[in-house]
Amino acid sequence: MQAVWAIVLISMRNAVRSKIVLVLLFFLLLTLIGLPLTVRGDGTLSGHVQLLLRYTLGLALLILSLATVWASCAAVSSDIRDRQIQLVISKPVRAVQVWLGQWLGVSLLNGGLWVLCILVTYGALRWTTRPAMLSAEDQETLATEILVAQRRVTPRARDLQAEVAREYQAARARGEWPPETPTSQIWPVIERHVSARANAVAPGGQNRWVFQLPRRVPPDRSLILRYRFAVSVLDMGAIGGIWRAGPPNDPRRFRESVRVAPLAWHSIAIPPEWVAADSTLTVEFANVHERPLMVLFDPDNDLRLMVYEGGFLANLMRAGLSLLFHLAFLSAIGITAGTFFSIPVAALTSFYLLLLLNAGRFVRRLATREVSLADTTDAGMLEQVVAAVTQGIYRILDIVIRPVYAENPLDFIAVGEWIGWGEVGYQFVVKIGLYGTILLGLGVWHLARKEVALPA
Amino acid sequence: MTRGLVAYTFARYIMNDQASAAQPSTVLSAPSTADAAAQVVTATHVVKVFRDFWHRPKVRAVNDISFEIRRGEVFGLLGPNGSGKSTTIKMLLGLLHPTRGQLRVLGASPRAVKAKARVGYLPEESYLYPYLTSEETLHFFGRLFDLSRQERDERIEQLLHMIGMQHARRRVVGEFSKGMARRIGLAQALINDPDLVILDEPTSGLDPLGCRQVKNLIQTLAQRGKTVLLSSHLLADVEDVCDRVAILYNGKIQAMGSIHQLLEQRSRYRLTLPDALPPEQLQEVLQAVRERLGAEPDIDHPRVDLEAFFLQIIERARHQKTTPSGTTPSDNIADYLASPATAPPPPSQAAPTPAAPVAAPVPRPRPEEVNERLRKLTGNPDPQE
Repeated sequence: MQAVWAIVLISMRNAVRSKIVLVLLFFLLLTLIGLPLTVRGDGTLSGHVQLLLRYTLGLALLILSLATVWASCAAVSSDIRDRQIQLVISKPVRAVQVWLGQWLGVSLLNGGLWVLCILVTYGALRWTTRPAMLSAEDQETLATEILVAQRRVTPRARDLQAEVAREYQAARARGEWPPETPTSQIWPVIERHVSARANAVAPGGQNRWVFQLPRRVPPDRSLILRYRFAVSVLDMGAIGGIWRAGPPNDPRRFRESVRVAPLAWHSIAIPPEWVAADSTLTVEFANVHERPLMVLFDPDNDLRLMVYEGGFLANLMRAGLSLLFHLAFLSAIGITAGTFFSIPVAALTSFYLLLLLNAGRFVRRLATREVSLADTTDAGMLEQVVAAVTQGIYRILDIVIRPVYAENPLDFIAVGEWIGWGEVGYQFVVKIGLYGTILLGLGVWHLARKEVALPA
Repeated sequence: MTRGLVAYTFARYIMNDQASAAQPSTVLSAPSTADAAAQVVTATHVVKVFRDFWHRPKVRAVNDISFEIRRGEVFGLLGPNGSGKSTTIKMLLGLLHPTRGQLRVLGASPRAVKAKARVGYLPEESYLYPYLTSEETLHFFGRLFDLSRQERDERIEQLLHMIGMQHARRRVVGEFSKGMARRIGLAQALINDPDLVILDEPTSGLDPLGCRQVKNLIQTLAQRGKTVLLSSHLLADVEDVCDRVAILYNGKIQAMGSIHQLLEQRSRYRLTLPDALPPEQLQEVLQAVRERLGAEPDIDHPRVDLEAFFLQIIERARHQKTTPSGTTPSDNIADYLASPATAPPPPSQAAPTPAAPVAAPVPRPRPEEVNERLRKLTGNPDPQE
């Protein structure tokens, strides 16, 4: 263990004394302090918090991620290039100790910088939203909606399969699709169509969604319904509507009239007493706009019921910890790439892998054939083979990428969404425990066999 | 002829001993009965071929070499640049892998951690971390050997004293001259009190004082039973300290054996005459030689070598100077490297004392010793004849 710590210390000392850390720190502080001073938000309190957390801290994270990849690629690779590793490998040191020492060195250093970034941002957030700067209403919004950790609950999915099947049969009967078109292509289209219709609100009509809450909500905390919608007519101004919440047959249930712009996020606070005994909350939207138009909700993305789970600082720390694991994962990629290649090649390889990881959603769509590179219906044998091989590659990529692809936690905390310990644990297990171990194994396997004194 | 010795050499063509003269291509193998347990390093038909990106053979750096190094031996790998010395050393350290053949270091594979724990290595260049201070560098390597803090502190103190760099303990290695960095490199190679010390061009970049000190150190280590493998293209260094050498050229061992075996010219003799021999007696001796041998002998004055002369000058200057700017000359050997039984270096190789004259007289041998030596050399039971 002493050898590992010796390598940890040396990699940290080298980074500090070569002024890499100093320069990185300068750019990070410049970003964290300079960006909020020079970029104006949308003037709202929520916009200000998002500017600080999502964009400013996000940019700092991006800088730190790039630096982490570069530094980790250089950690082993530059030791090999500058031949210092010859003196290390000729000592009673195992390849695994070299890998772990370098990885811990880079991770601890960048982890320290990341914690500093979080503290500076939190300080700036608290300073700029201190009571003297906000109205009483904004202070209330800040305390109940923004600087909190709320669990996101989406509406319970409706069973539309029977309706989709009916529509499908009707479409086939009407000959809307060529007979040779496979069901697998038609079904998703009809499914989307039926779902959109089921979640639309016709002029003068209303629609209803049921939210299943995970447990009893705190009695002193309102539930926040966050929503946005589209309308069937373009260039419309604010749309009038009425939100109701509570048992449908209760005449006293919660009611709030709104007049809000489409395609933007809005929120209303619903008192917790309207949650039913079975921990469900029924919500209705009535389209009472004076001009006839359809109001369209995407239930998976446009309707969120936010349930209070805890304080903001703890949530920020959990998000920070998740991202710390992500940085350590990036270090592992870089260190392993550095054992195989020279610095530029290792960095290029690592950045390409990162690009693939960040394209996880796109790869998933390709793998599930929602988007296809070749239209296999009219394709010849060769095209079909190429398409099948490509599809296979995307599926393998999806299997590899899916576990590590995750939404940016900063996006969640910026809107007060809760990040659970389960998610943090998952990030640790997958990014450090599983993928980190695989990368460690690869790097150690190669380093142990590598001839580190080959002539240049 | 007012001082010193008179020495001359003459051809011994009377003695027909040409066959025993060492030829450059002769490989003098080690005794076949050598105890395997005493063999610290064995190389058996080792080949190293460097390949290009496409795995095509590019250079055959080492070509079927076999040798062994025994415990307590100072073994030299001698050869010009590119002869395969460093490649051989790097294979012994596990930094390169032989293409064919087998290497054993301290009874194990060169890549085995347990063997590496007993090896000290000074590379041909100082591959040190430039942002670390001398002290941090030595602590780092001490930690790699799992030495305790106290052990490291003690050894580092002694090593810094030994290499004359106590005053530079907090300076970063990147600021050092090549010689100073080399000294730190030497110190790190000895921090684990190794059983096998591998020194690649150990005197490269060192001033004559440093060279002498390194050579003294090598001899001290050997006296303690340590095994030293050094590579060099500086012939004088190898000759000064090595028990045996292998001369490499083009990746092959061209000659191997003890220095004595390789360098002794058994067909020639050197005769050392007493100090202050009167010229008329010298003429008589020469005349006798001419008459007996029928040939004209060579005659000249002996010289001290430049290294010894330089060391005397510096030693004298050392007593006049107070503040060191680079390394501090030191004849000390770290305590843990020098056993109580360590004998001082031979007089001819020891640094001269400040009071010594520029050309110090070599102790004159007693007549019976001279006769005995001559008898051994010539095989003549009565050298007076």
